[in-house]
Amino acid sequence: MIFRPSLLGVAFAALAAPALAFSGFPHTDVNCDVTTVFEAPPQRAVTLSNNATEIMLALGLQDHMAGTSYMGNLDISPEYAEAYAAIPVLSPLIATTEQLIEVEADWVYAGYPDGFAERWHTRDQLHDLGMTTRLATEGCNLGQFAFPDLWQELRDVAAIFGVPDRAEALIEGLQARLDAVDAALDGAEPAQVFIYNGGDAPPRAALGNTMLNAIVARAGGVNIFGDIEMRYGTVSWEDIVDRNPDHIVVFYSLTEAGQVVDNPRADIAQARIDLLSTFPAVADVTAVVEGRFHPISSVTGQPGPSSVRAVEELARLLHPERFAQ
Amino acid sequence: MTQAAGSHNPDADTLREDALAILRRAPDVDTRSAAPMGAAPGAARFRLVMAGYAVVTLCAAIGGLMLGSVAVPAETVLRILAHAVLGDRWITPDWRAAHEIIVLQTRLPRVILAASVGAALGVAGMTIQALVRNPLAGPSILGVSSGAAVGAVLTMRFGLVGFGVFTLHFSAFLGGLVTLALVFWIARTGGQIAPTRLILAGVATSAVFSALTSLLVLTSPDPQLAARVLFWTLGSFASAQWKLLPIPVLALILGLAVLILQARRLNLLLAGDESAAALGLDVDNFRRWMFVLTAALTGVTVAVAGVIGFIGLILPHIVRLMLGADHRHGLPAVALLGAGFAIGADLIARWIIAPLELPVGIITAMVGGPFFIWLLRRAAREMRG
Repeated sequence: MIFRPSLLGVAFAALAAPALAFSGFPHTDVNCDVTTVFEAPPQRAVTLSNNATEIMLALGLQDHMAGTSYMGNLDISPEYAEAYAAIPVLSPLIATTEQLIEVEADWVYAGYPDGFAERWHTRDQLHDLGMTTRLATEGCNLGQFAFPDLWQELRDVAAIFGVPDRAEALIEGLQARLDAVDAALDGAEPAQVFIYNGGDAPPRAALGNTMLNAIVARAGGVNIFGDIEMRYGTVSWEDIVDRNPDHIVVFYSLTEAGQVVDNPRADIAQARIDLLSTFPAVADVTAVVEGRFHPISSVTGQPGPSSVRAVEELARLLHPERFAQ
Repeated sequence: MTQAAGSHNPDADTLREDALAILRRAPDVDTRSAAPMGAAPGAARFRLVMAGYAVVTLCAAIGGLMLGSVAVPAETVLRILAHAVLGDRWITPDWRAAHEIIVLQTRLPRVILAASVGAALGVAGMTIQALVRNPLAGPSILGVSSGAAVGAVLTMRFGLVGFGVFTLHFSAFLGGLVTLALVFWIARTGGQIAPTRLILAGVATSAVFSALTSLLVLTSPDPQLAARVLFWTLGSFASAQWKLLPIPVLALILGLAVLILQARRLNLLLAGDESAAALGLDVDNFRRWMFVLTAALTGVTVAVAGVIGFIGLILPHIVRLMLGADHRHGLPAVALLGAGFAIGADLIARWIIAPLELPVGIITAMVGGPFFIWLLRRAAREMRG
């Protein structure tokens, strides 16, 4: 479908910059089967996930934002804390339709598919209210997702705001950090890694099409369920035992059963580690015997600039000998 | 009982008599409680009850328009509504455009969707209970809802697009119809519908279709399908939009009009198939078309709001307790009460863990389940006494 922002989008954009002609506009954004034509950069963007928020701030787009949401009690990365504090937090959960209308959002950006679901608001529903939308492409589940795909996401978002140079500068810095990790890991034997996403009957895992899969690969590991071409799914305890991971990445987010938790690191990540440590079926798995559990939150584990930090931190945990001193 | 039992199974006879006793009791209650009000209570009582239901529905609707995750002052809400009706001549807009969009584009369609779905389910439930002369029947218990859900899930799973934006509604409708025909066929013995067989057939069919829904979801490559289907199987009015509304509203108006025109015939069915036939009703044919109609109503509600249980089961009982079993009064009354109940249940579903929303089916089940149990216990007590 081709969608042109009609009611709010054009009106607010026009108000904000009446006389300027924007270079690079009209701009056509194609994203997960939704085509949007932008006549001007959005002026009242709202993010529906913490990684989407960080992508916006990493591109220096805070002046174009009307609000953020879905951070709960997770912490924004330190380098974005100042800019983040200046933007209204609409909700600890995903901003509701009413909240999006209230702040006159013209562009709504979700970092993963939770943001656009029937229980909140679908993209179509928001389009009908005059807003434009984007879903970070990892969430579209188009196949394996790796860092070049993340760079493309940054370029696409920057293009919507007419600031392509900022994306290139950002990518250059992030790529240099990845290259440094690559150099340190050169020739290292990949570690076998299980990416645990909670649950016990059955356990849930991050699979081949996730950003986490790419993070593990870049940090000198192999996702033991990376061969399954889906984002998240359930696996069996038997398969975990059979594939015998050396390390377990414990992925966690900000909610449990839909509710915001007070301390995600303790209440979710540590609870998951405790479960694995005492679960009889995996008692003999190498990672459990050695106690190698590595929590990664959705701030760094979902696709965003901090995914590079996740690689840096995880590489040190998987291959400490390579980072001595 | 004057009803000549068509079945020769003594157990089935007992259950059926029991069922009929519950359906028939309603007029007695009516007579007793209405007696002090003087002669010819029917019309006056009907007006009184309708007025009461109207107040309930109006209060629920006002609540639905006032409350949400953004606080819009009550006065502003009323002025926005009045302005939408009366125009600039009487009221000058002095509110933010965003508030007008919140009230008119999200809350109002949601209230109207809930009202039309609740009304349709109440009407469908009352009709089905009369058609099978069984108070324990309802749109969900007969498997129509789960069949409609399978139709909808098939469409979502395989991305069928045969009828454009209405494909989902059409497939849900078709799923409901096929299921009802199936349940009807399983329960039919020697030209008669045995209530126990009907309920068991409905339960079995529902179980198979629920399993089919799960199978379709779990084998799907679309990671979002599970969440979308969960939304359907528990029901929600969150998808309310103006462009969606014509279907359920038209279905309700047409269905209710046809059923009110057929109210006398539905009354005849309560007297039993033989009696109805003796009075000139083509029972089999009438029942078949009424089943199609109720399946259509139920299928449409599932298509726009998912499976919402218990409204079609409990509200007809409440209406019969207050008004008696006459469908000429009962059908409009159950439509009105259904509308108010659904809006109210949606309000609770939105409020209880705000800003999160519970599926509305959870609320209706939590209210409806205990009522159903009470109904069963009461029937059991009266069998002993």
